[in-house]
Amino acid sequence: MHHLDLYQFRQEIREHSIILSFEGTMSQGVLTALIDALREKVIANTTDLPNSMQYTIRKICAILVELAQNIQTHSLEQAFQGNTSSGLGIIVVREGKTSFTLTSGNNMLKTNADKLAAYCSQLNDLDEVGLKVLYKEALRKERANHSNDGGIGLIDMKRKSAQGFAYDIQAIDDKVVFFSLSVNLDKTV
Amino acid sequence: MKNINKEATRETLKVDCNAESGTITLEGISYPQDSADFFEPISDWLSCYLNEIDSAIVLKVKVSYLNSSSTKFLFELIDKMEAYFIKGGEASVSWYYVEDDEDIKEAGLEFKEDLELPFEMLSLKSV
Repeated sequence: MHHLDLYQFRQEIREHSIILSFEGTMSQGVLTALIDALREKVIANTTDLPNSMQYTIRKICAILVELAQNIQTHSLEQAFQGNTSSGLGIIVVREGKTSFTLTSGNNMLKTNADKLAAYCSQLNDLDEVGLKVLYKEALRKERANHSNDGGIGLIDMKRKSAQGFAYDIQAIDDKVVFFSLSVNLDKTV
Repeated sequence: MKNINKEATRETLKVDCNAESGTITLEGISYPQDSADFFEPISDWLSCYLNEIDSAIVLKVKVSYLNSSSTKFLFELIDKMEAYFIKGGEASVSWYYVEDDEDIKEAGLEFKEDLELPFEMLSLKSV
């Protein structure tokens, strides 16, 4: 194995204000542990905890769940544990002075990534009213047979975040890309 | 028909479907990996109850967090009750929320505004 400069690695984590990160199979057990760790870390980073902060923590956790479950379902790389298949990906949570940024990334087919990017861009262009209309349409839309994918996770995240999605596509080969998606949450929301 | 009784887990709701009292009670938080797997038995129970017992049904929702796919499945349950109500059946929803929990309150109100069946918003004191 290559030598890992742990000090350098830690410096990078600190420079980027990363308070939580995970790379690997996004099993449900991992997700639950990440929620616990995130909650503890945000609380530890906050001297006093007004009600509004409790509210922010719940919102961050809700976004973490949606991002993680997108990886579970949509990552091109899947791993089986028993009968359950979970996707592989990476999640990073950063805490700035005024906001949190949650970023997830996973491999996808280029064709699907292009569709997802177009959808994110469409959501970025909508105001609150437009998002609500789309959300209600998505709630009523028939699910594909035995599918969990209501397609409403992204709308839900966009409604919780005051800012737009940032996304990026990096080509891995002709067909496969790495798709990353960032969601911002203001601390005062 | 058989009642459903499930204890809550860290990621799934406590479920109580009771054919004698005509109630479905859902309580807790919900973000299972496979929401379909969790909610389909409840949905099947409701269909069976409405077809066979064909009597009043009350859904009591006491949740503090639902992920997006759980929200969709919950909506499908309520939608089934709405169809029963519109055909003349007796059906209602009681939506409980902790008073300062804007997310759950808002979710309830958004369901309520598109429905004709009685939909009661009940605020609980925060602990």
